[in-house]
Amino acid sequence: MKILVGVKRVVDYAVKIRVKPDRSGVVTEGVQHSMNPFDEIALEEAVKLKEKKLATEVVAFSLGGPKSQEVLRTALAKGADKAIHVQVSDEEASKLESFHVAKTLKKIVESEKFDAVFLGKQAIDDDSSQTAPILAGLLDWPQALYASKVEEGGDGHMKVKIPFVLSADLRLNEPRYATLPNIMKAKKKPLKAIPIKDLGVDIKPQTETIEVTEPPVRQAGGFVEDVAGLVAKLKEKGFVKA
Amino acid sequence: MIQPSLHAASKWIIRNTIISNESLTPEFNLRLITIASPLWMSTPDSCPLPDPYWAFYWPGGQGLSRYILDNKNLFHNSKILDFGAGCGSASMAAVVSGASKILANDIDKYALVSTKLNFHLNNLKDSKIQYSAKNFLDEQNRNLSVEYFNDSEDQNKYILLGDMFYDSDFAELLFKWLKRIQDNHGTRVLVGDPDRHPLVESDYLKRYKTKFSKVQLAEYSLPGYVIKEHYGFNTAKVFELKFH
Repeated sequence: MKILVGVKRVVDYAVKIRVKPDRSGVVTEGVQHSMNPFDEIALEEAVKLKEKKLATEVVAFSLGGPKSQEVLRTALAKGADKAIHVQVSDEEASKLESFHVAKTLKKIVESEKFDAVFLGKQAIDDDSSQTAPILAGLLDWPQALYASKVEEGGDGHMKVKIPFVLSADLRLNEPRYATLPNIMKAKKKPLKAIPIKDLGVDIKPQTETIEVTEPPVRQAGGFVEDVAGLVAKLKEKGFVKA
Repeated sequence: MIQPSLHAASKWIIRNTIISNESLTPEFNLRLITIASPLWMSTPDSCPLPDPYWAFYWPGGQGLSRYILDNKNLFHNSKILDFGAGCGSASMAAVVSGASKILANDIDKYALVSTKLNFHLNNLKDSKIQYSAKNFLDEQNRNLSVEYFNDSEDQNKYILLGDMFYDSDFAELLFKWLKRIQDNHGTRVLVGDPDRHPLVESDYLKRYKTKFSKVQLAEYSLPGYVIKEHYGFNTAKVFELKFH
């Protein structure tokens, strides 16, 4: 079984997100980026299947600007055998939608004959959760979404036949750390770059971002002395009937 | 980045590596970055010696060195080119087996420092070793490596390659160079590898312009910590490549 794993370069989970002054999006320049954490979990699961000899090859995929190669190198250090970078400009990357990613994945799956695609259940930047189901639809493959456990022929809650699309939930596993020898090995592993135009995938945006705003600032709360005080407060605010 | 002098490199290696014999060749102590080193969890930029491949005992190198030690008669009085010598284990095994001349080659000059230190650590003389940091795949150096095997008609001749096959494009370059030497001198080509894709996948094997047959000479179970670090590779194999 050959597994393709999608890894997306996103703003690091620890970064406080700021909206651009012109409200066209969020600030990404000069901000720490890393691999989408749910994609790390998808990758870990694929590598585990390889260790169990159920998978023969794990290939990491990323669609994005030049810096996507950084997350692909990380994926190689964490156990992927090869990497494929489908190249777009940073400008194009900022307007990519799940549908474009799914169409690109479909092309790669068909040309390189993969048996399964593992993805994170969502990316932490746009939280769309759409790539896996759209891809399963385009390929007409079964889908196992938000997977929290992968077993071979086990009595799981859901069974899928190969080929299939899987999206990984947080509970699935704990990703490994890339050690120095593995980071060095990753430098020698093949990373193939394919310009998006060579795949003939149309990435014209289907949606238009009108405005991005900060969520409303949370109002300060108050303290109550005891339970009686809490009940009185709730009545006062009209949350419980008097 | 300023490259440390060989003397400074030698000092750094002694201070920052750990002496280990936990491998397929426990008869050798090697100075390595192991799981017990702080550097194990670091990134390559925290090493002043760039990309220290020589600081790890990779699975193919372990298998190849084990094979030489277990088949000493094949290597007695032989002439050897240790390509990508790394920590020097295969050259050390060749000396123990009674090889008469060894060319330890690595494009990283610090690997050769590490090789020299490991010889010393094991009380092995390196008087039969010639060190070279030349890149034999460069057109201008190619003849050097072919000429190395001149005047050795009555000797067994070997090129040793441990963990060199990560990428099919690089493999193709290596095959072309190896074939040229084999055609000229009948040099045997021995490879240690845990079955990485460039030597295994039939798609690649069909596509290579330089054709060869691959004969498996040995297979060794890897120590547990090596398996853990190499995600799914459980054994190291030794192959002989015979070019058509």
